Amino acid sequence: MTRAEIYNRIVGILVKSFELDPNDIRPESRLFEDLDLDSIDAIDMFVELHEVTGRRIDVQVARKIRTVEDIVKLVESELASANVPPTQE
Amino acid sequence: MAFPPLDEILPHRPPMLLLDALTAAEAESVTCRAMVRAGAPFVAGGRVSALIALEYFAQAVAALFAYKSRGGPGPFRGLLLGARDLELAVSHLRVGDVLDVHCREQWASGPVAQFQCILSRGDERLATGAVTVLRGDPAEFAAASPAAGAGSDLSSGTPGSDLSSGTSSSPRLDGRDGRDHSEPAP
Repeated sequence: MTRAEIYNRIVGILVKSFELDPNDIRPESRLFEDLDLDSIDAIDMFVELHEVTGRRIDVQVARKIRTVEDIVKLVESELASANVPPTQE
Repeated sequence: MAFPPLDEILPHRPPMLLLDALTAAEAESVTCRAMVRAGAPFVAGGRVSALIALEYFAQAVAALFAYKSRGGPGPFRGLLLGARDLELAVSHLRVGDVLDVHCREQWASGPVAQFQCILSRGDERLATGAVTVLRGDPAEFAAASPAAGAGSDLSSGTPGSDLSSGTSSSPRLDGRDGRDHSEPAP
């Protein structure tokens, strides 16, 4: 997946899971302050990201996530280290 | 394979032990049997709101954790953090219904796990949904959660609150807020 594809996939997850308006989501959007997610939402998001990457994201890594761009970078790095084709929806 | 009685592995006790038996357990999945009985919690007029499925799910997951850690040190704490995509095919369960509660882990990281759950009566699927659970001390999780550093904490979330909306025709589950301990404190 290209970075743009990853970004679009993440926006899709955010819109579907949390009923966000796609127009409100930007790479620099902060998950908790700007998009109003809470820690329970974050868990749901990591469950969805598991579908994308096929890998379980470590809680300690997840703690560092603040923005949508952070998720993109995390997924990129997970996909690179997984070195397997991502699962498709 | 014979499984231990639930009151040997769970700290839950009647009337709040809603499950009757552990009927299958593997590393990441569990099935429990339950019968709806007159006089049980939340049962009124011979029926109970199907929202009770959420508690069945939580107790079945607790049973799996307890079964897997049997022989270890006593009961552990746990928390039902939230539910997602809860779908009820019926509004109520009836006294006498014999139910299977099946939960399968679909994701886990550290102390947090999400289980996909199915409540069925024979071949009929009555409720499905995902429950997110914490195994361990809630205070430790709050400190470690992604939101902790953002000035948020678990108390700002309202897990389960959406479950009570749109159910005005059903008996409420006694004002419970979805934060029940899936495995009560010792």
